[in-house]
Amino acid sequence: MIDRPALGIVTHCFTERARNMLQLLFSGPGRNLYQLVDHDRDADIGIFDFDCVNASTQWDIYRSRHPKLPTIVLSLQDKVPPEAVFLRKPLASADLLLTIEQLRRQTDQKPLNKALEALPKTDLDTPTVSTRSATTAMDTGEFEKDIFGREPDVDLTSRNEIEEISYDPKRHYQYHISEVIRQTLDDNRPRVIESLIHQNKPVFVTPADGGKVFTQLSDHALRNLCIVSASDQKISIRECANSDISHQEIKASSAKAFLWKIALWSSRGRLPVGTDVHRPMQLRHWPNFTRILVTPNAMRIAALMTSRPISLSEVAKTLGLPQRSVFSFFSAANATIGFEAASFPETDLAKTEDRKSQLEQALDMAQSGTTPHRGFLSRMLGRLMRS
Amino acid sequence: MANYKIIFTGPVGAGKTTAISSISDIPPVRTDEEASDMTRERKKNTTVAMDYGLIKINQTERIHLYGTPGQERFDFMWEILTEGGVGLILLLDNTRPNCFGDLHFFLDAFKEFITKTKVVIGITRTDMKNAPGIEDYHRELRSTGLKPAIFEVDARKKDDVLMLLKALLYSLDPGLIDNE
Repeated sequence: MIDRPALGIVTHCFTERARNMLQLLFSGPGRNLYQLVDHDRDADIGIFDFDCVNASTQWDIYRSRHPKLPTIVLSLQDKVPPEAVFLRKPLASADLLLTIEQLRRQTDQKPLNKALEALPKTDLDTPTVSTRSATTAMDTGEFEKDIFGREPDVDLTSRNEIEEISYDPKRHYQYHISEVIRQTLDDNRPRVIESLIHQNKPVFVTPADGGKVFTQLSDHALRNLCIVSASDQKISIRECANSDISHQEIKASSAKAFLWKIALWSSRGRLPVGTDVHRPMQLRHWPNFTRILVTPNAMRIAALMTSRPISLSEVAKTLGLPQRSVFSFFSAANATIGFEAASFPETDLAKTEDRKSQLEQALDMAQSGTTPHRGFLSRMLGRLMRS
Repeated sequence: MANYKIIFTGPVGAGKTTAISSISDIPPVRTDEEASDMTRERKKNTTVAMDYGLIKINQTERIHLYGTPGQERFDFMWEILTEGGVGLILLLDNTRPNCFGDLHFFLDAFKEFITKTKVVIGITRTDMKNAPGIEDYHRELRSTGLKPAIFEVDARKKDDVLMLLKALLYSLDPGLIDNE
């Protein structure tokens, strides 16, 4: 049992019945972790029901009093304040708890995942709510925040700051998936991976066709698994037979594509622990972008990191990208493709100078637009993006 | 009017004609003749001169898409076609008996052009035959020092072909930003 005060949750514009239901949730799966409070001054997080009468006015008043209080907005509709985290009604308790956990992390509190263990398993399967802000799915900005998180750039000369944005894949679902795929391809025996949260929807990995993954789990449910600590999921892995896989309504994907997105969702803009952001490295080859989840600027990063050894810090600088998008890409590419460190020691001055010269050229080209045809190429790219 | 050129190449039946059709703003112009040699066994109507398509960027700029004929006896035309080209898209049919042979043949045939520009590779018909896999192609190219983008592509799907085209542009310049 973790000894810390429960997170204070204040509600606004809730009916008495809705508040009672929330109380029930917090005394069940959320016991000792969350507590409904009566006063804003005691709250760490707010929950606002945007379907109340005069919601916009009520919201303005609320926000003027608490401009910085992390707030979850609930509504049946999409038209909610963009600065809040939005959950669409009807609400699944697992989604609410996960969202509270995410907000807790953002306020630098250690995540507590035990609440999820007590939930009925079916709650987590169906994506009945959207945890994205209330803009369309095609909004690249929101998609980016969804995948990369919202962490600002950190000082890459500060070890402490780098540590704060690091995560250990071995403590996450990603590690188990990666290991199962590796073992299955090594010994040619299918395996099944089960978690406490999704006992009725396991993940099957088979060696056929270079590795295939079969599961009924939705992307939404998988993303939740990537957020929750692996130790809380009580993951079990065992060999199975191909006949164990019922192919009805099962989604199949290549093992590599599956691991790519698991690594992306696990990273959420963070670095795998121990990564040296200043060490030049080269991506072994391009990802197979037509068959994987493509994130904003991934192709640019792939193009640069396959062309020459370059450090992650230089990639972000050269391409003018937020660090979190580079780190997410690195996490996924490192898990599925791999990188080669620069092959010459820094003491080999001739090659160091040559590499510096190459890098300077790349920096010049990327930043000053001296590539031949750059203007035309940009216009052509714009034309293709609109296709 | 500013005109630029992208070349599609690859063996017979790899999907060059289809790929150009997928993305061209105009109905592609095909120069077809009935195949007169062993190619006939593979594909009755094959492109023996070239395909042509067009993408209009704006009022004053266009990208001309040229598909090379898949028959070696026309390889004198390949050099003419690449003159002034921006880059090369190589499509390889994964069901052919010697995919790696095709790979090396075309990379060698266009070596000079690739050195001046870039190449990206699309592997077609992987749904009909999934070996060699993409990883195998990358492994095969290790000795050449080339690291082009290699994607699984369905030439009928516009999104797949556009992805290849985007990879070509980013290969030429990773610093590119969509600039309307």
